[in-house]
Formats: sequence, structure tokens, C-alpha cells
Amino acid sequence: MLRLITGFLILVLALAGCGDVSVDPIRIGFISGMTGRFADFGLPGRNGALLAVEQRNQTGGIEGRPIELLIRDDAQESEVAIKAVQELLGLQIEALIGPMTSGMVKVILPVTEPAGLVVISPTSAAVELSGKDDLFFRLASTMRESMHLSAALHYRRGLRRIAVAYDINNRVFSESTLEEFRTAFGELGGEVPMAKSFDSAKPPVFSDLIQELLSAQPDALLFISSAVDTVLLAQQARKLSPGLPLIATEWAATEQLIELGGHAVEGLYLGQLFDRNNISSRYQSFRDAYQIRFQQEPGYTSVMGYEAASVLLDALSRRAKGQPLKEVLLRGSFEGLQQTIVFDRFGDSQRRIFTTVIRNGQFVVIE
Amino acid sequence: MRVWRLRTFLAFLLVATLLVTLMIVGSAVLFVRLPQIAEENRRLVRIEAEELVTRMEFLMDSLQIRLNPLEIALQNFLPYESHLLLDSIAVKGSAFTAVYILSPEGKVEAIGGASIEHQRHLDLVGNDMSANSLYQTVRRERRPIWSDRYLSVLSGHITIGLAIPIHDRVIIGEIPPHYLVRILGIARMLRNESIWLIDQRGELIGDTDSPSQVGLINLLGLPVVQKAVHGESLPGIFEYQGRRYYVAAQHSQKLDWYFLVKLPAGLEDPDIRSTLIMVTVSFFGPLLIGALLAPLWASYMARPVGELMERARQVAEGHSKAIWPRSSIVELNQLSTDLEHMDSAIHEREQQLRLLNTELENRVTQRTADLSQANHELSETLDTLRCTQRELVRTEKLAALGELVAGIAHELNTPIGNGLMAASALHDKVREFQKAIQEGLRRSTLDHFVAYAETAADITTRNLHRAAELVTSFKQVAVDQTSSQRRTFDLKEVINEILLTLHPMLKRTPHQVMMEIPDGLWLDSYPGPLGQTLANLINNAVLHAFDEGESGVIRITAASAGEGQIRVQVSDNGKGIPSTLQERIFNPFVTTKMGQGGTGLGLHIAHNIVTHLLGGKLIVCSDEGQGSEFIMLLPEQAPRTVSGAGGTGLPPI
Repeated sequence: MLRLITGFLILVLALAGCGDVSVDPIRIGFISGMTGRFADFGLPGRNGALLAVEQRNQTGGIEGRPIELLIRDDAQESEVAIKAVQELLGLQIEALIGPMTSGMVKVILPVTEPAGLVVISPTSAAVELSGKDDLFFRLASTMRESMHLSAALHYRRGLRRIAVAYDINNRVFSESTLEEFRTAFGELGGEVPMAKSFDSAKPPVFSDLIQELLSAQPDALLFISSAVDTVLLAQQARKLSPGLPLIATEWAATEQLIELGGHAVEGLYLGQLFDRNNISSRYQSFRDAYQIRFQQEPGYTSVMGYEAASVLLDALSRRAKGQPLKEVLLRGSFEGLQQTIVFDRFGDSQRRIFTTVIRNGQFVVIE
Repeated sequence: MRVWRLRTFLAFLLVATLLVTLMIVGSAVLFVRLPQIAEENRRLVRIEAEELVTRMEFLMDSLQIRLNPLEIALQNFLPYESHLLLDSIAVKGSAFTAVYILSPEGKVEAIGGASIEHQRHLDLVGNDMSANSLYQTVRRERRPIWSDRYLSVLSGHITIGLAIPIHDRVIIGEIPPHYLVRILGIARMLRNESIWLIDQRGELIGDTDSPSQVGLINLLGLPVVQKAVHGESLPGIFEYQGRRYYVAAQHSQKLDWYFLVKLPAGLEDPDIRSTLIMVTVSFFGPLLIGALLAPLWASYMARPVGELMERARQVAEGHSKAIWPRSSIVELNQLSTDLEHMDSAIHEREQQLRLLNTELENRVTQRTADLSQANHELSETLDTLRCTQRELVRTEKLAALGELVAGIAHELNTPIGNGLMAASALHDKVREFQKAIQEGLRRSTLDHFVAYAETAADITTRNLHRAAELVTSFKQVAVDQTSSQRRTFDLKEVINEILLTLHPMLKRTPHQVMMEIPDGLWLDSYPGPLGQTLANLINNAVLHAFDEGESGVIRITAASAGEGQIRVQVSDNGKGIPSTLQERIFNPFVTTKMGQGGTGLGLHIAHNIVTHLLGGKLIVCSDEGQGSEFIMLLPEQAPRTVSGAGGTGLPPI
């Protein structure tokens, strides 16, 4: 009798059965702007990180535990970002990859630092965030090096007066970058006759902005902005002053720059943190995997996202029991796709900068 | 074995029956219904996916139709003149956030949209869009193209783009992704259905469940999505974030999107859940009612039985004459009737038994009286028997004494006879001598007479001495025999004397008595009874050991047995004693020569004397045809506790 009852209950439970026991996954957070104006920056970054995690899971995860990538959108808004990070903290993530922009990094650090959460930003490059002994790590070198290179290059090209438009929606990045450029260019004997800020969250009339910059009679224009804004600025510049040399920063160095900009961005100079034509097998196999997985070419943030995730996963698997993740990251060197990644004691790393120019709808490396 | 109360048992039986029934029915329902529901939902989800695509294509077509007026407009106006028309198409609340016309070179010729202020119109007109992939695709394919990853020229947002070629120009409309989700919501038909709209790259471009995930998630990592994208058949059920779904996918050729329709499966499936709840309720509901009603019903059933039991107990305790209960159950009534019959039958039998019992008691009293009468008679008989026995023993003793006297007389006869003969012969000689004196005495005659007188005197003296000796001897034996005195004596001497007294009797038999007793065996005991014992044993041998005409040997031996004991054996070489007789040979009145002079008391008396008076043992060893041997083990010191040295050696009866 009892057996019959038990059997029946087991049957009911079996029908209800959805409780399967599996190993606890290792959770990693990913945060980036994936909607809105900077989505071109964030989405490929997400793809890169996702690919790294999926590849690691295919080879058995870390010590048999699968890795779960929890993806959140910061929408380039402070409140959204803080809420998302708090939610991720509640989900017991081991570390956070992102945000992609320095502005968002600055917003979330006051939340993550007290929680003891390691944050690795694939692309954040603002000078302001460097040189601090905290739990923040970055893969991109600061804009100081990049702006020095850029200033030197354009000075050599004979440009002496370069007017700047910069987006204060990512103020931490854009203002410090402007200062770095101004300093570097000034030291060489160049000049920034005018720097106009705009807020991409409330887009201005770009033709007016360009008109204003042109009034300073610059030899060239430098746009410290995302790909979308750089394109919109470039479109106006081409309409108002065709042939004026245009310069952008790594922030705009996404694949969408060319797609959106078309002819308007032809001849645009900008730095890149990777070489699209790298022939190392490591990079090539990544590129193939990425194309198969996402049916598109990897961009600069794809590479950075992939590397950030790889560094984090390597560190997690190297970590001894009870060892702080920060220590592992600071002590080791990590194999990137095109270079070895080593963090200094502040968690900053040096990255080679490839200066490119857009020719015939392609990024061409010039140095 | 576990013992139950009837009420409990009935209650359990009822509940168990209910439980088993419900379980069988419930399981049957579940086993039949659940797979049916699952199959139904699988079919439903497949059909829905197919129909959804049709509906979505129709809805998207209707969006496309909205751009048709532009074709006519472009034939009649210059492109830049049509921006008011564009504004009216991309009016606030419509599907389009922006609509614009691209020149054959890919430059924006006119743009309309609710959120675009006039100033920004100027910004946008003239912008180069030639590198745009949607533009390039539509130029290449010359047909309307939908793109899910179209970068908005206004915001850089990823939007849904619709491109229509009109002659050598291209019209592009931007539709925000959330609008697509709205359309999906309208297009879906099933209550619990959720839809994923996925593009070629696995990007989620529409999700009716969580629209916030749109644009963030790439689903190509899911095997089910990979299968959908590669056109393979999907598993009926798949799991996502811990929930199970029935799933079907359909590809829209026109839109080049994948529609993944999901219906909750397992417990999430409302049909399955409601079935399970229904089964559970219909399982536990009746069970609960059953659990409540069963005890009541059981006690209702058990009550008449209880009454019957109570009634039966009353009968058992002897209370009768009550009415036997009746209930509504036929069998119980039958039982009640039967018990009633049994009750009255028991009563009748009890009466009979009581009668019989009284009779029996009377009979027992009668028998008891008879028995005590018999007992009394028996006691009297026993007393008589004892007297007779005592009489017999005395007779025996007298007989022994008679024999003794006869023996003495016989023994004395010879010496006294001899003396008398010698004296009378001398008397004759004296008379001859006197005559000789008168005739003349001659010296030779005198000498002869003197010699003769001397011889006669000698003979007479010797024989009288012998007679005196015998008398002394007999006197001792007589004293011993009659007084049973205790004294210290030499065994050999006493046995000699006894044999002497037996001599006259033995002389008449052909048997020989041999005695082998060493000197110096001293006893402090009763020589009289010992003598009687020996006499009895010898007498027994003479009487019983030998057949008529046989001459046997009776041997008397004695030796020290150590530990203050002396063994005396009386053995013969006769025919032996049958073993059946040996066991009871010392019992009184046991004889093989009943009516031939044997009293059957000889050995009994001997045994009693040895064991009681002399404090020893008497045992018999005999094999048939091998002779017999009686062995006496006598203590050198007879026990003094036995009073009555004058004990008669009477056996107790």
C-alpha cells in the first residue's frame, strides 16, 4: 500500500520534474552600452567576450565549472549602469568586464570598489582613471600615448592649427584626451585654435558646430566622439569644407564608422588598438571563429572584449584557492591576440597603437 | 501478526480502496492525458510558427505599402520637395521614425521624421549613405529589403530598416525595434505563446517576453537556434534558463528572419498544470472526504458487531435472557439468531450437566463408603495376616527348637549308649567274677576281670565326658538361640556349633556340607540370629538346590572383607535360582514348594536378620544350572542402635 502511494508520488514528481542538478557555474558580468548611440562600440565588445566564454566552455570551463556571462546594457546612462552593476553584484559575479567607455567606468567604480569586485575594461582609455591602486584594470593604454603619436603625425603632415569637437557625454575621456592632444601638439609648435564641446545625448545641429569650428580657420578638424557622431560631424565637414583633413580617435574606430560615413570619412585619420591585417595564427583563428559565430568581421572592440574576457578567464583558472583575483592579474602576463598583456601595479597596461587612415572604405595602417 | 480493531480495519479498508481507485484513475488520466497535451501543444506550436510568419509578412507588407505614395510623389515632385510627404509618413506614432530618399549616388535627398527638427533636416540632407549595407543590398537586388541591423542615420541606433528601390533612387524607412515587438504582440495568437525573432546572426531582434533583452542577446549559442538557422529539425522541447518549452521555428523568406515560437512545457504548461491540479484535487479531495467519512461508516458497520460481542460476553459471564440485537445486515442477523440458538442450547446442556453432576457426586459418595468399608476389611485382614505371620515365625522357631532337641538327643545317644553298654557289660563281668570267686578264684580270671573293668571304666568315662561336652555345647546354642544375646564370639566356633545342631537333619540327606573358615574371625554380634540365618540358608539349599536323588555339596566359607567387615558365603553346586525369582527371593511367602512344607519365610527372615539386626547385607548370586551363592557382609561390630536383641526377625508388612 505504502509502496503504491510512494510510487504515485514519485510519478507526480517525475512529471513535475524540472529540477536537474548541475555544477554551479562561474558567473562573470559584462556591461556595456549596447543600445543607443554607442551601441557600435558595445555590441562587438559583447560578441568578443561572448566568444571567449563560449570557447572556454567548449573546452570544459574552469575546473569543470561552466562559465556564465551575464550581459547588461548601461545605455550610456549613469542610473542604468549603477542599477545593472548592483543587479550583477547580487548575482555573485566573480568579476566584471566593461564598461567600454571611461565615462561609465567612472560611474560604476564607486559601486564596485567597496564590493571588492574586479573590473576589467576592454577599451576605457581616459588618463584620469590611470595610476590608481584599485581593483580596476584596463587593456587599452591611455590617450596620452595615442595623442602624442597623433600630434606628432599630423604636425609632420604640416598641419599647425587643428580645431576640436568633443562629446561631453563621455566627458572623462573626451576632456582629458583633448588636453593631452592640446599639450602634445602645443609642445611640437602646433595650436588648437578652437575646441567645441557637444552632448551626443542631446545632439546639436552639426552643421552649425562645424561652421563655428571652420570660423577659426583650422588646417584640420579633430573629432573626439563616437563613430556615429564622428560620421555626422564628418558629413557636415565634407559638405561645408570638402578636402579639409579630418582626424578622429580610437573611440570612433569601429566598423560602423565606414558603413555610416561612406565617402564622408574617406581620408579620416585615427588610431587603432589592433591591426586588422595581423597574420598571426592566433588572431586568424579568432577572426575565423568570430566570423562563423557572428557572421561579420571582428572590430576593434571585438578584439578588446575577447582579450578582456580571456585575461579574466586565464586569471580565474590560475588563481589558487583563496587568492585574490587582483593579485593574479597583477603578477602574471596574459597572451592576447596580437600582443602579450601585462598589467603594471595600478592595473594599467600598454598597448601598441596602429595609426590608420580610411581609404576606399578600408582602414589602412600607415604606422 | 498485527491485530486490528474492526473499526480501524474497516476504516483502513475503505480509505485504502478509495486510495487505490483514485491512484489507478489518476495515473491513467495522467498517463493518457499528459502525452496528449504535449502532442497537442507540439502540433499547435508548429502551426502557430507557420501562421505567424504569414501574419508577420502581411503586417510588414502593410508597412511597406505605406511607402507606396512616395513612388508617385517622386514622379511628380523633386525629391527635396517631398519632405512634407515624408514627414506625414513618419508622423509621430506611426511605424517609421524616419523616412528618407537616397539619390543614385547614395546621398540623402530628402528626409522626414517626427523627431527631426528643421535645422537637422539641413544637417542630414546631402549626407553620404553609399557605404550603407542596406543601400548596397537594395541597389544590388532591386527589390524591397528588410534589415534588422540598420544603423540609424539619426542616432546610430540599430533599427529595422526597410529599403525600397524606386527607379534609380532608394527610399529607406527606419522602424524602431520596439515597434517590431509590438507587431509581434499583435500577430501572436496563442495565449501563452512567446516569440523570439532572430536574425541570421543569432541576434535577438524581437522578444515578446522580455523586450529589454532585444539587442543585447545573441542566441546563436543555443543549439536550438543553430538548428533553426541551419534549417534542421528542432527538438520538440528545449530548455532555456531553467524553463522548458515546446518550440517550433519558421523562416520568413521575405524578411529573412527566424520566428521561434515557444509554449511553456512541463509544469509551466497551463494545460498540464491544470490537469495535474485537477488530478491532485480529485485525488486528495475524495481522499479527504473518505478519510473523514470512513471512520464514521466503519463505526456504523462495527456497532452491531460490537453489540453482538457485548451480548456474547454477557452470555459467557452467565447473564442470559436478554434480547439478541438485530441490525440492518442480513448476515449479522443470521449470526445473532444462530448465537441465540447456541445460547439456549448451552443452557439446556448446562442443565443436563448439572443433573449428571449431582448423580455423579452421589455415586462418588457411595463408592467412597464402599471403599472405606473395603479398606477396613483389608486392615483387618492385614492384622490377621500379621498374627498369622508371627504365629508362623514362632512355629518356625519351635520347629527349629524341635530339631535342636532331636539333634541333641541323637548326639547324646551314642556316648550315653556306649557308656551304658560298657557299664552293663561290666555288670555282666562282675557277675561272672562273683561266680568265679565261688567256683574258685583263679589268678588269671582276676587279672582278666581287672583288665576288663579298667577298659569298661575307661569307655564309660570317655563317653560320659563326651556327653558332658555335648550338653555344654547345646546349652550354649540353646541360650544363643532363645535369648539372642549379644556377645563377642569366634565365627568358626559358632558355625561349628550350628552345624552340629544341623547334623541330624543333614545326615538324612545325601548332601555334603563343607566348611572352610579360618581361625580368629571375631565378631561382636548376635550369634543366635546369625545361627538362625545360616540354618535357614543351609536348609534352603538342602530343600531347593538339588533334585531328588542328587548329592550335592554345600560350602560355607568366610573371610575378612576389610573395613571392619566379614564376608560369609553359603554356596551350593545345585541347579541355581531362576533370575525371575532372584528379584523377589527375599520377599515373604515366596516359595517354589508351596504345600510341600515350605512357608516361604526362611529367606525373608534371614534377610531381615542380616539387614536389620546384624547391620549387614545379604545378596544372592546365581546362574541357572551353575549353583547359587548367598553372600553375607557382616560388620565386625553389629550396630547397637537396633533395640531388641530379642528381635524376632519379623518382616514388616
